[in-house]
Amino acid sequence: MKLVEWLRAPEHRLDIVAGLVDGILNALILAAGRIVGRGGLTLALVGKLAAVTACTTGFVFFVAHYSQLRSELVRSARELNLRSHGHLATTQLGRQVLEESLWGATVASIFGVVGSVIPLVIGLAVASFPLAGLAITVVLLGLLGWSLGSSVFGSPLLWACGLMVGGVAIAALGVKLDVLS
Amino acid sequence: MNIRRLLLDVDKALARPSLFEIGDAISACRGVEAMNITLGDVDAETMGLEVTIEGANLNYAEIAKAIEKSGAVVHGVEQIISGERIIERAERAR
Repeated sequence: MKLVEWLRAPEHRLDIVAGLVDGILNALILAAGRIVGRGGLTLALVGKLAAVTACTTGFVFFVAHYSQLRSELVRSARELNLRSHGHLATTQLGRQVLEESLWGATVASIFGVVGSVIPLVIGLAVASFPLAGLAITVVLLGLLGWSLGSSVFGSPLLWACGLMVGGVAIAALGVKLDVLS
Repeated sequence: MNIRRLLLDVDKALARPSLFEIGDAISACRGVEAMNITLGDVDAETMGLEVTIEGANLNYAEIAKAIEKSGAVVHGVEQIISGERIIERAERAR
């Protein structure tokens, strides 16, 4: 119950959603060629791709969060008429924004791994029907879009279609590039 | 000087620190027995606070440092009461 509440909390939404989508798209762009059967997928490859996603997503999100929160501190220092615009970063707030950024990056990284493993495991599970793996992944992206659309009181259909179109485009690019060949 | 009450004009950014964090920082200072943090004026990015602290042998420097370390800013001291007991301001009668 607590996990569900935590997942639904608006302050975690960016990291969860962006991590998931980033992970899925990473897997599609890197491994779509393998999923459709060129060389096939192995568990070792799934592990490697998950590790790559964890590192890149975590790093990108840490830099993004930290730079945004540090600029907020600078803006606040200016509004408070502090002589040194970097002053607030030397207070408890500096540590607080660092911890927040690390936490956000960790959450995004974990969900990035989950997102990247989903299409790859599906690809492994239905290896005899290569296109089914991609199709199921795109449908999952659609479901994610639907739930996002509902939670932000937008059009679930539009959100679902948007994410599915993005997924198909990235998967097509991944098949074309066949990065891991 | 045995400071028994301090009334401080404190400003902070809207988002952080929270009033609880400022309160925690003040409470941890020596001599603090009670305090009151009241929201004053609020504008687009900042909020003003009236902070009243009572106790015995309050150390202004320590309290100001604690408040600033929490991420708020002390803009001024509006009242100091010190001595053996608290004495309220006497209105001038003309």
